[in-house]
Amino acid sequence: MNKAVLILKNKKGDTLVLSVLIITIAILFTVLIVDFGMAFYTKTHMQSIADAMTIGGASYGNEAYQTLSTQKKVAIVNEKKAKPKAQEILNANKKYLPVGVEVITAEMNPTGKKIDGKVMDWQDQYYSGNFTVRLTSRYNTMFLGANKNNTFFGISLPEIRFQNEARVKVSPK
Amino acid sequence: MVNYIRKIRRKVANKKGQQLVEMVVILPIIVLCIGIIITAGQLIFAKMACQLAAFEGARRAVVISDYNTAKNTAIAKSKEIMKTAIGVNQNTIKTSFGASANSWKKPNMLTYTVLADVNTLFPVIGPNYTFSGTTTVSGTIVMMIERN
Repeated sequence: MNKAVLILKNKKGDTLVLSVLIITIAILFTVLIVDFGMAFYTKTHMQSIADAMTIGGASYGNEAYQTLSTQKKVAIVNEKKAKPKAQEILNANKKYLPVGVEVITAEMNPTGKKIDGKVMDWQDQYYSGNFTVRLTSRYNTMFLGANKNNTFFGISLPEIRFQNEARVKVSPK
Repeated sequence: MVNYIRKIRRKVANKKGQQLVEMVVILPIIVLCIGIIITAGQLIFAKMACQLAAFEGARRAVVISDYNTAKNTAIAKSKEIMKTAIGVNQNTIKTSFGASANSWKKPNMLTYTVLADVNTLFPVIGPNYTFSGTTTVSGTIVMMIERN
């Protein structure tokens, strides 16, 4: 018992322990800040791609027809034209994504989207002239999980996922 | 000899200057960490500015019918946005307008890139493992041309 107390009272080497602790915390803090900074940049990059896809797709698929009852001109976004064009824009932009970023899903006119207070399925969006793009991406952090399986010495690390959404409402040409 | 050993023992037992030694051990690592944080922040901010400048420039260009007007508008808008980026050398801003006058029609694509040199506070290791005080960052966007 006395021996244990003596070991605890002995202050030799306490600087080493403190130094290692402080250095470890400082390095971890730095890694986290750099990784989250990159993730924040990636999120803004993905938003600009979602915007480009929505604008391009809606512009390409913008069509107008006249209703039989009211003879009013109504604008729609033709999905058969808009979706492939938006996908083409996404594929072209993928080449310029930062390292470690993957696009998991690219949904166009997703069901359940709330527009002007109304929950819409794809048909509602189609006939109301809306075109929505929702991108889900994954960022494998630069320092914490740089390898493909996102593991560090066999320990699974959480990846950073984010969703970007953009919507355009077209008017009759 | 005995006196010499006693002298050394006394010196080792003396705790004067201990905090200085501790400080000397930890300070470089703390400064290095702060340097990495500041430099990474500078580069990330400049990269975001480049991406925004590329997007805004391209967005303005794709809705203009005339090729030359579109190109000049894009470059002017990008340079205007890049003025707000701290640490960016304004004389080094370059743009790449990836469309020709012949291909300037709907629904072709425009690939627009903005490049700039950033003067970092701390040197950054380059691709050839050489330290440099300036790093080139870029932002690229591909958009559909919306006018014929």
